[in-house]
Amino acid sequence: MNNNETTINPKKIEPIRNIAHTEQGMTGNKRMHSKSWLFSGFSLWLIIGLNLSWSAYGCLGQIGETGYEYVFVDAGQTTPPDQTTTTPDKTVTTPDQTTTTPDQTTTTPDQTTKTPDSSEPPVYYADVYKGFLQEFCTGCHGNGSSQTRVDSYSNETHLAKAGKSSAFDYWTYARDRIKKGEMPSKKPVAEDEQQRLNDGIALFERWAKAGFPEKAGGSTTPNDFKGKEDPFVVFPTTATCKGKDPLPARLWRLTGRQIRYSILDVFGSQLNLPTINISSKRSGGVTNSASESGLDNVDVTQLLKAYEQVSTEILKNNKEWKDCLSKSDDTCVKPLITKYGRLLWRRELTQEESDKLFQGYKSLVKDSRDYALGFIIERLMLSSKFLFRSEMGDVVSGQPNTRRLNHQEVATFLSFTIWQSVPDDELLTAAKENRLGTLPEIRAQIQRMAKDKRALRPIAEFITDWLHIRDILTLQKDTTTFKEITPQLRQDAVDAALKLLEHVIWVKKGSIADVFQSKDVFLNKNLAKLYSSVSSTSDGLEMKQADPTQRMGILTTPAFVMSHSKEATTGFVHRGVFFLEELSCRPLGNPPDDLSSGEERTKNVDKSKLTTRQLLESLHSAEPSCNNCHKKIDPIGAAFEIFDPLGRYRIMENGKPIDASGKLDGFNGMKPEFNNAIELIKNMTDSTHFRQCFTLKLHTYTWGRTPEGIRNCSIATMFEHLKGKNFELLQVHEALLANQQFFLRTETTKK
Amino acid sequence: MSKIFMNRRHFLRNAGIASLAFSPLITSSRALADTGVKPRLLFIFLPHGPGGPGGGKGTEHNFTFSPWLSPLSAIKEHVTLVDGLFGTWWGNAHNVSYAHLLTGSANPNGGPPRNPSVDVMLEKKLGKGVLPVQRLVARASGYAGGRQVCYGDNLKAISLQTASQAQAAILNNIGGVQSSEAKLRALREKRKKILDEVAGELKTLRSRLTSEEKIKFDQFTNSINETASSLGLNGTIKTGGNCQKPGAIPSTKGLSRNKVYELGIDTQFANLKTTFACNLTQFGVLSFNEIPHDIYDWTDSSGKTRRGKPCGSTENFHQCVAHYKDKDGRLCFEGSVKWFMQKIANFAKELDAIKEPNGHTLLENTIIVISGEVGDGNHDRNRKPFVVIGGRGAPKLKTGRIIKVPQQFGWGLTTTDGKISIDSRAAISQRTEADLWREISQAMGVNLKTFGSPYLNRGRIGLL
Repeated sequence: MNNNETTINPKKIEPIRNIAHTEQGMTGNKRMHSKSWLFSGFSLWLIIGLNLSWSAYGCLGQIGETGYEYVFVDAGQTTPPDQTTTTPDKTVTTPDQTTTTPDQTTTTPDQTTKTPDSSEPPVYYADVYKGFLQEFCTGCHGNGSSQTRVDSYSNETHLAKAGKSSAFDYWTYARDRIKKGEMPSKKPVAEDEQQRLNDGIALFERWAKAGFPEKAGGSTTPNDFKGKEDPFVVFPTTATCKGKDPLPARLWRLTGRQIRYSILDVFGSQLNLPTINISSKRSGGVTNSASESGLDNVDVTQLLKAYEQVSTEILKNNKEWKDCLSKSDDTCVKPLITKYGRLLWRRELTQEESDKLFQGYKSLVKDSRDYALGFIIERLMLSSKFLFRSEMGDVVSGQPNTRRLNHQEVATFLSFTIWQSVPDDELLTAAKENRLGTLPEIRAQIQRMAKDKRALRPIAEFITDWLHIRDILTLQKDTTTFKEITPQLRQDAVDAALKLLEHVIWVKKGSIADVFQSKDVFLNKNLAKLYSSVSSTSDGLEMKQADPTQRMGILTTPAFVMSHSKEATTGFVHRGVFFLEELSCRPLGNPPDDLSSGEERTKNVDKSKLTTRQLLESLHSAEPSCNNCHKKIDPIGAAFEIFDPLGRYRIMENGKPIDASGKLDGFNGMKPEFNNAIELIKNMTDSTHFRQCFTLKLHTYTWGRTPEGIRNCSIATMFEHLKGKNFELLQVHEALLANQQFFLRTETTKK
Repeated sequence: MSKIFMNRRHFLRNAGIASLAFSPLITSSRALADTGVKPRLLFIFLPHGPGGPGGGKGTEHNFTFSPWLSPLSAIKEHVTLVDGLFGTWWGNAHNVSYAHLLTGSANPNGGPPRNPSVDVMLEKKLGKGVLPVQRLVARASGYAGGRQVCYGDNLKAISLQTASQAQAAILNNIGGVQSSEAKLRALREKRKKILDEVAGELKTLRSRLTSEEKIKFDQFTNSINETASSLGLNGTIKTGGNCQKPGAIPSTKGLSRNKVYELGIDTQFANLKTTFACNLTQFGVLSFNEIPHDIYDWTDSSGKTRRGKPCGSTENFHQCVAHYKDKDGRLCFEGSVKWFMQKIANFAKELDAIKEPNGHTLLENTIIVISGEVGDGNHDRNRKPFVVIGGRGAPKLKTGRIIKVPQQFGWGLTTTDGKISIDSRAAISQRTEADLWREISQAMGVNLKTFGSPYLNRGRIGLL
C-alpha cells in the first residue's frame, strides 16, 4: 500500500495502566521515526573507564530508532580484543550443564546477619477478635447494632458510616478511645474479667503497633491493604524485619531494552536498530518481572522480524561481518561464531553448538550468503541462551530445595543488573576462572562496574519505567486539537527527560529527591513551545533553568505530564491515581463494579463554564461510593491541573483561575498542605514515606519480583544502605549486596 | 426529578438471565452438518459505531432500514439487525469499550480485558487453519489508527496487519510474492531453520528446569510453532477452485490521501475474500480507522449535497461529526456510515457470488458482524446497534430480520441552574455483547454456556 503503512508498529503493547474510569483513555499505534543524533559532548569528560580493554569509550549517546539512549561505546571498541583467537574446542560449561559450584564453604558476611528477635509472635485481627473484640466490643458493635460492626472494618460503606476513610483510621480511632477509657463501655465486674480486659487491651496495643495487619498468618504486602491502610506503618528496619524473601530458581527473560543495549554493545553503537518491542507485563509497578517474562507468538514473530533487520544492519555496518560478507570462502565464519557466540551466550560455545551453527550457514550459503551469515546472527539472538538469564543455579549438596548461582550466572546477573547488557570480557573471564563466588569478589566487580557509565542505564531505565516516561511515544493523542504533538515533539520530550536523568544521576551524583526536585530543564527550540518561563533556539537539547515555581524535576517535564494526560484532556483522575498508587505506594484497588462513566453522567453538563476540578469534584462528591477514593485522588489531580495536556504551565482554565491547592494526610514525614503540584512534589519527595516507596519499587525492579512481604530484611537492609548514602542514586548498585541470599535460590516458589 | 440508581443485581434479576437455560443447543454437528464446509466469522469495526439506536423500523420480518443503513437494502435478505446491545459500564466508551467489544470483559483499570476476544477463543477451539486469524486494519496516512479489538490468551492486544502485510502473508500461503522464487525459498528456509533449531534447543534444555520455569519454555515453544504457522512456513500452497490470487495492489504514487484510504479498504476486503475462499482461516477482524471527513457526500438539513464536515477546521471528526452538535453534524455522520455500508454491501455481494460445496454461497457460510465502540457516535453504550450479515448457510442463522431486545431505563446526570443532579432517562438494553458472542459461538459450532464476564450473560438474542 502506501509507504506510511510500513510505519505501523506491528504490535502495540498496551501498557498496563490505571486508567481512571471517568476519562478518555488512549490506544493506538505510533512508531517513531529513526534519527541519528550524537550526544552533545558536555559530558565527555565524565567518562571513567577502569577496564583498559574498554578504555576508549567515546561517550556517544546513541540515537537509534527510539531516540536518545545510554550507549557509550564507540564502534570499533565494541567487543573485547583478541577474542577471535579463542578456539571453539575448549572445555565449556554452560549455565545448564555446569556442575561446578562456587566454594560453598565460604562464609559471606551478609549471610551471617543476625536474625531479628522473633520471640514475640505477630498479632493479627483474628487474635484480637477472639481475645478482646468478641467479648468486649460486639455488644455495641455487633449484629443489628446502630454502630459500625467491628467485623466490617474492611467494608467501605461501614467505614463511611463511621466517618473513617480507611480501616487504619478506624482502628486508630478505636485505639484512642480505648486509651482514653471511653471504650469498652462494658465494665468488668469480676477480677478475672478485669484481667481479660487488660490482656485484651494489651493484645490490641500489640496489633496497633504492628499497623493492624488484617490477615491472620497472612502476608502484609501492600495488596492486602488496598484502600484500607498504609503499609509503611510497618516498613521494616533491620531490627524489626522478618524473613529473608528467598528468590526462586528461575529464568529471567531479557527486556526489549536489554536486548537493544546488548546488540549495540556487542556489534557496535553506531548501528541503527529497529524497535525491539516485546511484551513486558507490569508487576509491582515496573516491567522487569522475572515471573512474567515469557515469550508469546507475537513476541517471537516480532523478534524474528526485528532480528532480520538487525542482521542486515550488522552485515552492512559492522566491519568484521561486512568483511566476511564480501569474501567468497568460509574461513572467516567460524571465528565469528566463536567470538560473537561467546558474547551473546555469555560463555564459550561447545564444539557441537559451534558446528551446528556452521552447518546451518553452509546449508543456506548456496542460495544467499547474506541470508547464511544472517542466520548465524539471528539464530544466536533468538536462542534461549541469549534471551533468558539463567538463575537456576546448581544443586547444593545437603541443602534440599536450595540452589546456588554458578559463576556464569553471577556474571550475567551482575552485567544485566548494573549495565542492562551482556558481560564484558573481564566478567566472562572471572566467571571462567571461578572468581565470582564470594561477596568480596562480587563487591569488587560491582565497584568496578559502577564506574563505567553504563551503570547509569539501569537507574535511568528503572525511573523511566516506573514513571511511564516513554508512554508518550505510543499514546493516542488528539492531534487535531493539539497540533503541537508531533512525533518529533514526543521524541524530544522523552529525550529531554532522559537527559535530565543523566544530568542528575551521573553528572551531579544526585539523590532520588534531586530527580524530582531538580531546577534544571532540558529543551530545544521544539520543546521550548511548551515552556513559558524559558526559551531555546537550539536544535539540540540544552540545559536551562526554568522558573522554579513552574517547573521542578522529572514530574514536571512534558514527557511525564503528556504520558499521564488523556487523549484530549489533562487526565485529572489518572494523574491522581498514578501519584497515589505508584509514587506513594498507596494502592486504591478497583472502583466498584456497578459504576457508570463520568462522561456519561455529565453528558448534559455545560463543561465550558467549569474547571475540570469543579466538574469532577461535584461529580464524585455526589456519589458516596465515588467519594471514598476520590477525596484522596482529586486533590492530587487538582494540583497537577497547572499543566495542560501538553505539559504547558497554566493558571487559568475555561477563563477561571485554577485552584491547585489541597491537602494530603497520612504520609510519614510529609507536610500535608500544598498550593500546587510543585509544592506537592516537594512535600512528598522530601518525606520518609516516599523514600520507603522508592526503595520498594527499586527492590522490585532490581530483583525482578514483588517482595513476598514488605517486612522482609532484604528491603530493610536496602533501605538502610540507601539511607546511609543519602539516597545517592549511583550508590544503588552496592545495595545489591543487601540481599542476604545473593547467591542462593530456592527450587520452589511460594504461591 | 426522579432518581433511579441502577443496581447491578436488580439489573441482572430483571434481565432474564434464567432464559439462558433455554438457549438452543446448537452444537458443532448442526453447524458443520453440510459437506464439511466450515462457517466463517468476520467482525468489522466501525469507529464511532453504525449510527444511533435501531437501524431499522417495522416488525421482525417486515422492516425497512434507516437511511444510515440504506445501502444494505440490496442484500436485505442476508441482514439481521440487532437493536441494540449493552456494551460496558466502564470508561467513556473511547477506552475500555474497544477492549470490551469482542471480549465481553472490560478491565476497569483500562488494562487488557479479562478474557480473550471471540476470534481468539474460537480459533483455539476450532483450530487455526493455515493462517492464524487475520487481523487487519484499513488505514491511511494522517488519520487515527485502527483500534485494537483482538486480545489473546495472554490477554494483551494482538497486532493488526496492514493491507500489504496481510496480502504478503496470504501470498506466502497461496503462491510466492518475493522478488524471485529462489529468494523466497531461501528466506523461508532460513526462518524455518532458525525456528526449528530453537525449538529443538528448548526441548533439550527443558528437562533441567524447575516445573514453574518449564512453563516459560513451553510457551516459547508454542510461540515458535505459531510463528512458523503465521509466516506460512508449515503450509502448503493452496490454489484452484474458489481460491484465486488477489490482484496486485496498485501503486499509491500520486494518489490523494483519501484515495489511499479507500484503496486500503478495498485491498483489505480483497484479502478477506481470498482468505475465506482459500480456507486459510475461519476468522477475520477488520478494523477501519476514522474516516476522512471529505471522502464522502452527505445531504444537509436544507437538502443540499455537501462534502466535508459542517463545523470549523479546528474540530475533529469525533468532536464535530460523531458528537453531532447540531442537525447537520448528525447528517454528516450519517453520510459517513452510509459510505462504509456501501463498501460492506459491495463486499457481501462479492462473497455471495462464490458458490461453496454445500450449495450455499460464501456469504451464506460467513457471519459478518458490524459495530463500533459506541452505538450512536456519542458515547452511547447502552443500546448499541449490531448489524449482522450472512450466515444462513453453515452457521444456520435466521436472516432478513430485525431483532428488538428487551430494554430498561437507567440514569444519567443533568444540570439545572449549575447544579448537577441525577435523573432517569436512558434506555438500556437487557442483552449484551457477551450474549451476542455466546450465540455466535454456538452458530460457529462451539456451544458455550457463558462468554466474557459471567454477569454480562443475560439472555438469548435469537439469532438462531
